[in-house]
Amino acid sequence: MANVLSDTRIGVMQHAFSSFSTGSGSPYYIHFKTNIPVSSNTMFYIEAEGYNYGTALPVLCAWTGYAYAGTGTVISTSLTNFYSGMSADGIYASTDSYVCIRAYAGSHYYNGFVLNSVMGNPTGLSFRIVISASSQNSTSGNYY
Amino acid sequence: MATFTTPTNVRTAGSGWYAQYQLYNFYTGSSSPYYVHFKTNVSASTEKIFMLEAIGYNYSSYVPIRCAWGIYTTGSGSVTSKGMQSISGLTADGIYMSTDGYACIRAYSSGLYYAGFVLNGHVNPNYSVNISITAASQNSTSGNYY
Repeated sequence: MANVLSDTRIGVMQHAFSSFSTGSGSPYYIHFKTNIPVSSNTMFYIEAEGYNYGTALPVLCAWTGYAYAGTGTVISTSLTNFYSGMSADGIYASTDSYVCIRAYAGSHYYNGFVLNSVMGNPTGLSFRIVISASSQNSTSGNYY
Repeated sequence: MATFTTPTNVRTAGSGWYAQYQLYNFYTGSSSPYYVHFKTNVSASTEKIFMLEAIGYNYSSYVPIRCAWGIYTTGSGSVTSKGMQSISGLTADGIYMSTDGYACIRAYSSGLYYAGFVLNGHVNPNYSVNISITAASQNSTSGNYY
């Protein structure tokens, strides 16, 4: 389960605003639902930073995109894996129209990481991001 | 044009300033010019070792920004690059000394349209310094600007 940490966030960079840890190696997907409405004209950078014991590798991967009101979708997305302990696997809109991100690893056994964000672009500047739900499951597509 | 925001979210540990998050937020709606210069408050006349990193999102190229500058101010009036690394979205392009003797960095991207990022500082605790960004400019200067 995700844990909401003590709120020390100020401004644009929101460091360790949520965390996730699990003792279960499978299932292999982790979904996070954010409070970013897909029609909010918000650009975002979200990264996971930590250590996946199951893959014996550090975790640093990022999801970026633009929740664009013009289309009601998330556009101009990217998935980047700086370290290979876990992969940024997808970005999608929930059925109730919030931005969700999906991570994948071949094992999550004792995986643990924090989520950081940089809401530093001209549109969506300093948006205060919250993880409203999270789930480790076997869904490779949209879960929320 | 660059937009200035107040440096915040500085975290300390022990007697040194180890990690200074969100020293500065730079964002722009202009794709060009392609260089961004930052001037720090770290004087070349003091011996300091620190790293600055940029983290954010470059909407122009749809990729995350992550790059870093390793900086050494010698204490004897010069600024030395201790290495730069560019992973994605923005290039750590240069380290230099301003005409009035402060450490400066230069970033480059072939497109900065709606780019936004923070600068974080990481300081060698033996050469502790409270870093701040005193000026920033998006311009076409590929060499020294300040």
